[in-house]
Amino acid sequence: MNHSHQSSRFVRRARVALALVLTGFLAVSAGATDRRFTFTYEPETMPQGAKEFEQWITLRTQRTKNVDQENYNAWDFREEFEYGVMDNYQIALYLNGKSESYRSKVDGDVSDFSFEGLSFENKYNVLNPATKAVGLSLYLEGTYAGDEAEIEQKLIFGKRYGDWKWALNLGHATEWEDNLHEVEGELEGTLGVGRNLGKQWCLALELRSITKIPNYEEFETTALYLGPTVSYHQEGWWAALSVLPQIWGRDWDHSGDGHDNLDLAHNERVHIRLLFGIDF
Amino acid sequence: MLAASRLAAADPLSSTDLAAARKLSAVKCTKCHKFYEPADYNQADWSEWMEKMRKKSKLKPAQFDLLSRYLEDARASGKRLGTKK
Repeated sequence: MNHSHQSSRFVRRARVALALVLTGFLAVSAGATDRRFTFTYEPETMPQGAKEFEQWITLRTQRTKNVDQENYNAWDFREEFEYGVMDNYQIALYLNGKSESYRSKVDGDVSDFSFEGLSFENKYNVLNPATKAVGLSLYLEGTYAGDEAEIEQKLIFGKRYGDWKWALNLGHATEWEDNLHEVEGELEGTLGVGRNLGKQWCLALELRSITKIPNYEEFETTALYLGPTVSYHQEGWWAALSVLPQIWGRDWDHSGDGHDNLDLAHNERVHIRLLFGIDF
Repeated sequence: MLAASRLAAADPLSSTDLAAARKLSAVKCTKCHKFYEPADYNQADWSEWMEKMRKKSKLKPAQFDLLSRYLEDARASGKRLGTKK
């Protein structure tokens, strides 16, 4: 009798708790900078005066031991502070860090953490995706890390159709390395297609292509990554997680990574990225 | 709610105000999320959403008043604005 009473009280409490949780879930909506993709930027910019903090954590894992980097893991950390200067122009400041570890026959177990400098981002919305057939933003990011520097440009296209959304980025970056004595070009293309599942969740697929051109002389490597991204959006914060395995790669310089259809000499087998953002 | 009632009862928006309100809606609302028809909401729910979005989209007081009048007119009259972006 007593047991039955306790059970029914538990069920009532569970129902109340579930109702509260569901009410909370239903009472939110995605905002301007809530990202549905982690590797692909969307053309929307923050409202004027809006501020956001974003934490980026990227794991790049598994290279081939043929290039003496067995058990390779690289963690990239970025802390980003975004600010909406105008409704169609936003800026951001990044702090970059990197932790890299692998097993080398020559150097033994290598583990290193390094500060990768500061980045400054500009994003200008040229065509509002809400009113134009396709949204377009221009993106410019500069990075300085003492003996290394980078300038990155992107064209960001995108559009939303009801609960569906796509975004396409075409990017080019120039990196100066080795105390600014070496230069390398990088071409990047990313495509994201996602669908909102209710007001909180979005499930997406992202495709990413990376090509590196040392000294702008000849192609060194191309790699294609494809995988799912899931994002969750709550009032005041959001999070997104991607797992992108390499589906095709080619080492144009024939580094001998031992794989016909993957490039595990310059690129990793899997890229995993977690982003979360907090409005303030 | 009272504020919303007053807004709905105010004079109709001029064509200039309507154009400005539509532009605001595109920049501050539908740029970030799909359009939600005001007519699908009761007054209390709509006012609550407007207040939340006012903060999120950093609407200035004059912008909020204009947008509220535009959307509240549609909500109160049941008119569907039909912006499916």
